[in-house]
Amino acid sequence: MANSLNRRNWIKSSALMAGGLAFFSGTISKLAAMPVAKKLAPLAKRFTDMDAIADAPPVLKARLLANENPFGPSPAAKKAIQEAIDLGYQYPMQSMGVLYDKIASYEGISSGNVLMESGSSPLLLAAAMYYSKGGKSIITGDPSYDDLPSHAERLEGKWVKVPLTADYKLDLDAMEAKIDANTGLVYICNPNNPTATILDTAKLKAFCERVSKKVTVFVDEAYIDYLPDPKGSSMISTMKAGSNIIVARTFSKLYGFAGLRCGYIVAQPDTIKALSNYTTGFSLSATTIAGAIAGYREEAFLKEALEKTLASKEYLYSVLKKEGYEYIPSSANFVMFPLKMDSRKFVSEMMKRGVGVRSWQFNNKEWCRVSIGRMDEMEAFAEAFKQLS
Amino acid sequence: MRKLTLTILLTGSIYLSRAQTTAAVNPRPLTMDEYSKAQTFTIADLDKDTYVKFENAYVLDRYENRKPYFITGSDGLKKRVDLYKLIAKEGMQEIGLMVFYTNEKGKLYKALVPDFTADGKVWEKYFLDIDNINKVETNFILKLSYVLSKEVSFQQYKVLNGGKDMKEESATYGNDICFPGDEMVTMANGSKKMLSTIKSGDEVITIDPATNKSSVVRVKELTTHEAKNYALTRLVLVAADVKNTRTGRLVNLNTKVLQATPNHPMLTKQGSLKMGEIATGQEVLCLNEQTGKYEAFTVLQKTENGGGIQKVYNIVADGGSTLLMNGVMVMQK
Repeated sequence: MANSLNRRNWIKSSALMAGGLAFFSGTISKLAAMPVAKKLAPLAKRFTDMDAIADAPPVLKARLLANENPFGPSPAAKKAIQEAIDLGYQYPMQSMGVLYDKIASYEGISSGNVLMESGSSPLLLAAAMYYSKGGKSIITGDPSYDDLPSHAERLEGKWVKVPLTADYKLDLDAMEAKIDANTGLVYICNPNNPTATILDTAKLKAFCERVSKKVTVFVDEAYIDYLPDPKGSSMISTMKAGSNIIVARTFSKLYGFAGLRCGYIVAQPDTIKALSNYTTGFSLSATTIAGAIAGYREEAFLKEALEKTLASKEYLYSVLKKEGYEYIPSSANFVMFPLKMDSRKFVSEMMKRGVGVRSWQFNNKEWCRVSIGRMDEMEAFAEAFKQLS
Repeated sequence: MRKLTLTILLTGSIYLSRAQTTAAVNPRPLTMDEYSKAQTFTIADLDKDTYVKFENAYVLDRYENRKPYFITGSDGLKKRVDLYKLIAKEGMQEIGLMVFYTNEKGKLYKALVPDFTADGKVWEKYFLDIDNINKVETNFILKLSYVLSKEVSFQQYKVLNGGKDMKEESATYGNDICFPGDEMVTMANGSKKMLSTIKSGDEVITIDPATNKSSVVRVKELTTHEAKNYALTRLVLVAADVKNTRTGRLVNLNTKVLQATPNHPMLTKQGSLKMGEIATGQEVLCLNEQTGKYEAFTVLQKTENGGGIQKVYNIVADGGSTLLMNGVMVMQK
């Protein structure tokens, strides 16, 4: 209050403002209430995985901080990328159409149900912009992947966080109960990041069918390829049956394309049209598209990458058990476990030992999220962890 | 005199120990056996080892991640003091504060400040131990007392501030006069370039404060200062041009934000001032991109915080006295 009075006094005394006092006192107060800082906040700073990567030293023994897949991209994708360089001077409209058709054909949908971008991040941003317009709220689990809701909060929207259940799964009933006239979107990350928990497919389908009649449901399936039956667990079938839901997929995880950037959403044509107003629709490079065409549903590679991930994950479980730690059983390529020390201290000490992991605080506990890497990376984790556990 | 110092030290140690253990769960007393055993714990590299386990039962964890104290007394002898929390792994309880004291000859002395709940006999042993060290290492207690007093004061401050992140309060106020690397410099052709990417030979704009005319100068050197948590003053500047028209009131609002170390010189309407001395309401010359002219902008808001650990930079040019940083006129160093 004292500040605003001082500010008002200053405005009154300033010759600069002569003639505009009444109008400006409101404008200036709003300005001082941080919009300047808010608008100037660097976009990338809100991507917490990106923060972790940016803060990590360039050389790590084990980079287990961003849920990347160190077994990808596949040799076929790499070869296609190299070959695509020669035609790099051409805009890749045609090959992009091929990729759209390939995805649509596999999923049994029309290419009008698909919207691609360089990774799912631009699509999450588009959804944040569209569904938070006019101060609408985004309902998410807490903790869950915060890219979309944090974008929304930075813009016009509000972020309604719903605590997870006792077994660290998204609480669908509680999320549904939070829906009101101001809800713009319900965001479901399944499997959930950072807890790697999975929802019961039948329950989620019923939720999507019921809730999407009131409000759009966005199901982020970034980690679905790590499940035993991705197609059976996906909500794309629910979209095909007519529900107003959006399903996001990415090549960044099991396909090993995190650095190449390729992602897409699947939704009703009207939704695709609405969201395409908030994207360029043309951010993918020719090389990435070529790699994605070669790598899409390359079952042998995906199976092998999954098997290696599961082997590393089993090893991680054994390390944690041996050191007397519990963990949340994981349905993805990362594992969350509670720490017995300050989590930021733990991350910093692990980093000193060449191992990058991420920390969380929730449910009055300190947590570590460790991504699944190659076996040599998991051994480096084990060695460093033993020094701290 | 020695007894008085010891009494002060003991009181301070108890306070520090209590302050430290406030947040711990079920703090339990340091036993006499543990007190003796911990005297055998060593840190291989006091510069690098910040978390070391012993017998899979105890941990020495660098206290507050602090750098060591280096204390030189009137005798000119330099001593080094490193502090580590002694943690019992079972329940991760902080049961003491280990002091590693290295004298000018490299001789290491250890003292273990017990936690507040420790038995009186353990405290008595600590009292006698530090007194014994003081008999062979002159002024050991005096220097220990200074370090512990300083940390008691820090813990008190932390408690009073609700345990909030101390990063901002611990910002570095040094002699380095500079800007964070992401400030934008106005180049000769009117484009903007991030300060950290400026190279010698680049041409930048300078403004003559007397005439408000700009000219071009060449960068001789971009000075880089080592990464620290520099205190940064942040100014939000605003200019408003208001015209009454037939249809309504036409307002052109222009804002700028500038960050620099608080000692960076700025030319204001009130004269040359350091960034940290500028008050809200004062006026600073800026480039108004809407008009292309240099105009006085008014300081709307001023904050000063630690900017996080980062390098900071300064341009050395071959002429002129000013530069344009984020569109704001700043003085060259």
